[in-house]
Amino acid sequence: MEQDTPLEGTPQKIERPSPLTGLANAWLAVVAVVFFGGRELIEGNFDTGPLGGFIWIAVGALAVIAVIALGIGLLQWRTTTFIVDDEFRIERRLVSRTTTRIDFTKVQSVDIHRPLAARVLGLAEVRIDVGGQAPQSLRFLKNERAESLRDHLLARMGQATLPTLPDGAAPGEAPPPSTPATPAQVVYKASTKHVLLGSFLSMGILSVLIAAVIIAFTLILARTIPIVLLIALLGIFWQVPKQLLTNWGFTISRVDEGLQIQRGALTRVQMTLRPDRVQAVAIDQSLLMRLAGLHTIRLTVLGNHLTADESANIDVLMPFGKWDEARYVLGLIWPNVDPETFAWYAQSPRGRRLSWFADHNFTITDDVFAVRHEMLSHSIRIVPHARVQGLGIQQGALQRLFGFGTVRAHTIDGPVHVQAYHLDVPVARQLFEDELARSTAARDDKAAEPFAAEPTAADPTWAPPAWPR
Amino acid sequence: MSPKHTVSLFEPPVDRWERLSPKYLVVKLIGILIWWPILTGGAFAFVWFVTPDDWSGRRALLTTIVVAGVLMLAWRAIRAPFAVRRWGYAERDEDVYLTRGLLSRQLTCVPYGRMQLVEVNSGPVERLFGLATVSMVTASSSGAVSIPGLDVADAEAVRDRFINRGKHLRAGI
Repeated sequence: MEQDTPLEGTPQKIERPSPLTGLANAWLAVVAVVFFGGRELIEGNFDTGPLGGFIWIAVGALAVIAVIALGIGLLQWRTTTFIVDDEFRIERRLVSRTTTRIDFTKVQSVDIHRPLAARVLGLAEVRIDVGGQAPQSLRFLKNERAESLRDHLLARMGQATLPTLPDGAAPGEAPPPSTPATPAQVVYKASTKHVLLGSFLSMGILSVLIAAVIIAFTLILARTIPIVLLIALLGIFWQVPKQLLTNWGFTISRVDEGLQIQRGALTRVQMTLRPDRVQAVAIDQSLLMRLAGLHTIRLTVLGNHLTADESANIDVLMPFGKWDEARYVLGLIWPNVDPETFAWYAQSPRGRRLSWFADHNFTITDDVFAVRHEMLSHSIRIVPHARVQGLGIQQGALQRLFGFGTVRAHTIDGPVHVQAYHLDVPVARQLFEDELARSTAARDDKAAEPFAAEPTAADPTWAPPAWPR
Repeated sequence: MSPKHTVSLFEPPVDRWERLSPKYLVVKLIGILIWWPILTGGAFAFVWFVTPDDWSGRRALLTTIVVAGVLMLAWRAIRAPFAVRRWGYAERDEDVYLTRGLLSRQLTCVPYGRMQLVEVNSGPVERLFGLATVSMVTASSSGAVSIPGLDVADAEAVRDRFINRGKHLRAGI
């Protein structure tokens, strides 16, 4: 095994995790096994047989596990090094040799975790969140070193003030109630009728057909509808009550931090959304919703899914609403963006040969890149140039035959994917380069962000259009 | 904005693509020779233990697995040189272009300013040949790219260049 890290001349301080890592690791493994094994034992899931023999086997197994965990921990300690000065680098040389270099300015947050075993030994794990992907972790460091490392990282990360970083406010967090700020001003209330109708339609056309067939058969055969059947149908339609309960009383108000969303019938959820954290938007319509003229606005928001609590995620900005409502609500986060004014470019007529069943369009405006897909369901996806993380072109075998390419704008992970399908090869490459240039320019120019403009004047008396007209 | 009319979808943004080390083909072939026999053997063992001894279709199924495994191995080995030749990357001032894929081709561009961290990874076989893989992790997992088969020194130089260039670009997501 190569012990020496390849360094370029300059003396850098190479550090290792604490040698006690192996011990902490063994302890953690034993605790986990005792906990789960003990629970199984108490619940009587093992046929213990003669108790004496069983205990010896259990102790033996524990010892083996402890030794293995100790070995792994020792190996980790021997094979992990890290360097923190002008650069931040972690090197691991277990089976494959990995060196990870992290840019200080990209560090989103630094946490210290202390499991019991580590705490007793005076150790701590440092987790470095760099956004998007699984956090990098260093286990285990001595307490003081963990804290000084965290402080150092935070200081270095603070030197480059990140404009899009939250001031400690996770997206799902309710604003601190203690600060008497300007009172929340209600700017949007979802119409109860729309939510009712939309929830009903959200079960999808397939479920409706299945239910209709079942009901028809029962009526013909039994000439009555038994209660059991109704309950079974409720199982099929679980989407309806779920949607209804989640989106009941959906309200958006404007507060100092951004927008505050309240929703839910049973558990009332309150979330604060900072418009600058919105990465991409989709305006969706399922087939049934199209018939009713309803739209749903979905969001990809930075920092969503970091918390385990799913209800804290802001995935939906408008549960169900008319087109004009959708435009208005979108204007609340991006005042400059109005999908009505988009000049759509059609995918080439030849492109329809590969997707005769669908209509794909795309557009580039000063602020955003947008695509529109129209099949049975309709969808418009919008990503601001400043939020494009990278670009991609794909060409499958069939596409190459016809001379097409698919252009994709990569955004951070979320429900919204922005892809322009089956473009003619020159158009595809042109779009790729164009969008790249625009996203580069937008990154450097804060004014190019769609939310940079003054927020649109919110109309407190605004009410959703009546339904039915 | 490129004013020139690009004929090919996968044309390099600069004069030419940087290609992978030729040694990477050997690494790739060794990988195929290790993994496909293991996969085939695993499937073989699974069927061997799961199906009853006296089942009439057992022999046919086991033969099919072996034949399929050998065919897949041959196919992967035959296409490997072409697939390796398709890899290419091009560094520009603010971003890096990457192309790959044999049947389904891809072109990806990642700006340095978007890279959260850059990783150099080299597995046991790669290390034997002095090669490494550079992975660029962005906030978008679909946009993350990696360049395999670079000489270790090259890989580390690439990593440091990416990070240093990213430093001067505006941060944030």
